Amino acid sequence: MKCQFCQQADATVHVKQAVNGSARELHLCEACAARNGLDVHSPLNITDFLFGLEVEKASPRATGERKCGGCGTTRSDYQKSTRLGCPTCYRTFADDVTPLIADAHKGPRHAGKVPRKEEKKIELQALEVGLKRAIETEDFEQAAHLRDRIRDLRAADAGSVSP
Amino acid sequence: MIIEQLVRNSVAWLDSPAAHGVVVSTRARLARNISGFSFPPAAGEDDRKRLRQTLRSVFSDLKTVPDAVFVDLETIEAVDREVLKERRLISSELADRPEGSALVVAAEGRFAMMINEEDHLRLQSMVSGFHPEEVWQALDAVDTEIESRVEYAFSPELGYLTACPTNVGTGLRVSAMMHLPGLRLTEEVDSVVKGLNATGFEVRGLLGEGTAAYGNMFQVSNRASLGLSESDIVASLKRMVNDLTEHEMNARARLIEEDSLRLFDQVARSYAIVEHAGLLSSSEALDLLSALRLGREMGLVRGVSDSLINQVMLLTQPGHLQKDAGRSLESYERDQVRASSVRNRLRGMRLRPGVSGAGSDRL
Repeated sequence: MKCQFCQQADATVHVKQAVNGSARELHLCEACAARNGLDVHSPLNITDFLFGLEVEKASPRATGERKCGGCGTTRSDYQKSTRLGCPTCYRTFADDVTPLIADAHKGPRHAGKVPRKEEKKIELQALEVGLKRAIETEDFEQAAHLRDRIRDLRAADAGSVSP
Repeated sequence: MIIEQLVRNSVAWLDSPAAHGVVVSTRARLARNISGFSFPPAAGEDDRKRLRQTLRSVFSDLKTVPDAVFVDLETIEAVDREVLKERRLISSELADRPEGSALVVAAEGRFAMMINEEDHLRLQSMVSGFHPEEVWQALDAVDTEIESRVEYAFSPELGYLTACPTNVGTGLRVSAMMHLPGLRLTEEVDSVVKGLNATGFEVRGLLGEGTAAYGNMFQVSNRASLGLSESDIVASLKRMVNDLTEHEMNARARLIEEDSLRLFDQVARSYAIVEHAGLLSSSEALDLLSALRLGREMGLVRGVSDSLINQVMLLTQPGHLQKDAGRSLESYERDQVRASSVRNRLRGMRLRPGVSGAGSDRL
């Protein structure tokens, strides 16, 4: 296949892109691709270059610029790249993320592996609630027992290093 | 030097004698981020380097991967990054943004862990043949050990938090690399791909990008990672891949039954082109090798193994050709080198008597 630009060299850069629901193809030689500033590794640039499209504008339902307090990522950053910047972004951009999650996944809640430290955190919380209740009801035997278990769990946790 | 070994050694997931049949290889990957650091797409170079340093010390003494080798990607040549990409040890994203990124390999490439790709950690495990439980369990063990040293970004509702919300939850993607020439020849492959997409699976071409499946190699994987457990993901992929393998075998049986001449013709033509071509493009080479692989599995081609054909598919990719030549090659030169390389590597290959059209004239 010949390059669609120079019609001379063989096309070795092949681009296929879905535009408004239909697939469009372009076949270029390496030289023409490079001469036209086509970065073959960046799909965004390819689209812009080939079809004269602007970077896709924010979807209509998303309005108002918002900035994540955790990492400084803005809503338009996210909409351009569909990449979040930090864990806090999941809350900051919940309006955008929630429908995407509903669409891509099987359910709204995690149903898999849980890190041991998290399991421990959850267990600690439960023990502390129990301890409080035991003290309130003056069940001091139970309170002493729970206090020991909390102390043991905390001691085990201190063994690991966090970054 | 370690990188020379990485780019020259055989590829465990591809070259093993077990790498035959419809499922070439199985891979699993886990996406993980470390709490307290911005995700890589939002992190500056200094932050990325700081995170890499943290992970470097974690990986220096893991019992599950005692032989782990840590490679800072900006310190190696571009052609070596290209070779690592073609070996599927790193992604294009990582190859294109090496600053502050790293690759950790262990167990002869069966483990390849990317640092600062889209997520802080992309743990990957791959093996020849179809073994989804095995790759998941191998990753699970490494992940559990890493988790004892660092604090992962995790939420009880959403699970492991990832830069892209499509990976959140388990962060697990299990995939199988499948060779489906029978479904292509019977023209069923498009409807199969559509069906898989509609039932929650992702299908991609050979190098994991776009949909053009050169060499009839398809990578199929789960799409959902939230709302189901790791073993659910493994089990559903397993069911799907087994079904698809059966479809492919049925298609091959029908080809022999209904139009063996067309099948023989495809295989014999591919054989003839490989024997005599002066120039071979990458995509043409992959398609020819696919036909020969099919021919070998159906007993029409002798003197070569599937693992040799897999190896040739890899070694004739642009990065490998240039690494081998020791310099960069224009595409015309690459096509020339590729044609002679394929011919030389498959020197022992023969057609079964009666398969070639020229042979049947004598019947």
